[in-house]
Amino acid sequence: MRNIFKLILLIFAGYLGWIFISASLDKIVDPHQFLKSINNYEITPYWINSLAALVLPWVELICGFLLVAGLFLYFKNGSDLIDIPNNLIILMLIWFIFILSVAVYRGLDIDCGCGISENKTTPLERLIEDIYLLMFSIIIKFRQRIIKSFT
Amino acid sequence: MSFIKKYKYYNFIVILSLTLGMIRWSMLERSFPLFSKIELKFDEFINLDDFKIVVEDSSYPIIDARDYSSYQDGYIGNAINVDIDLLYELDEDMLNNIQNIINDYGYSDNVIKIDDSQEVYEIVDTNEDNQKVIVYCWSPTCDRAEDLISVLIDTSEYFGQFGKYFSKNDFSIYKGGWDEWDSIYNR
Repeated sequence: MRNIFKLILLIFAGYLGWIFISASLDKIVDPHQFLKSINNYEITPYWINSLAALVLPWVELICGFLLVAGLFLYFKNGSDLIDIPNNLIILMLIWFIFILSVAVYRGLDIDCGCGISENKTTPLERLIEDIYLLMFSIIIKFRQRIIKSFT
Repeated sequence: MSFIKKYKYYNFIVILSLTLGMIRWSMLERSFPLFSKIELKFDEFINLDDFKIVVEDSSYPIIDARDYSSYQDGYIGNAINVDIDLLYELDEDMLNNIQNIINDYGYSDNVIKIDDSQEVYEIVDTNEDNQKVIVYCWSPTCDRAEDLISVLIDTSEYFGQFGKYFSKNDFSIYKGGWDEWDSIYNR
């Protein structure tokens, strides 16, 4: 059972890492487009949006890489370094879920600007996906407790 | 100090991201104002004072609709030449100039592909972001700017290649044109 859970952990962390790395690349290449997407939400002032458009993709990229690297360290010597990128990812996902929820509540018909798909992604579609991703992150965060419950 | 020590890894990630973000910002070719973007209320036409702000800010695309040789002799700010006579002949440079404006100023984002297999597009946000293309010609009597805009928003088969990116509201004309600008700022 523990081995199965470790496999699940590998899949979750790998998927989360891949999602964050791939989502960040588009935004790093074209921050203008990302800024435009954030501005469409009309939640935060311009200067916060512009700063987020420049910095957030790098946080996503670094966290994505560290999550995958942290997982290998965790499997290798039980290191808890994976918690650092994972905690940041949880914070980011909570924020994404908040702004997407506001967008859905206000009925905004905008492209979510999440950077993964070339096609238009509505806030509702991304909200559902982000809730799944948050669940994955929470499982990674409480991995020790879950493993202990198996013994 | 204990806060910095306790969260040193988090601080490191944030500071590293901030640094990389600022490096990326300094490398951007297109203007990316950090604190505010000039807010002008654009109409079908733009007056000299507002046009001067646009030229100095350089975050809006400007099209010089005069002929190619006149553009070579001088142009306003970061204006890009689109000579309508050459465009009628489907001149490659003119087509590239328009395509560059579409790519560099986010007009390609106005078209969102909603179906890969059937090449179905939806046009969104054509003017709500206050992003305008400013077009100028020689003088108020010159109608090359109006003609050029008609071509750019045309969705028929011949000129339709740009019609899906632009709407009429995406353009504002500086009627004073090169003559007015040249007489005030270049002499």
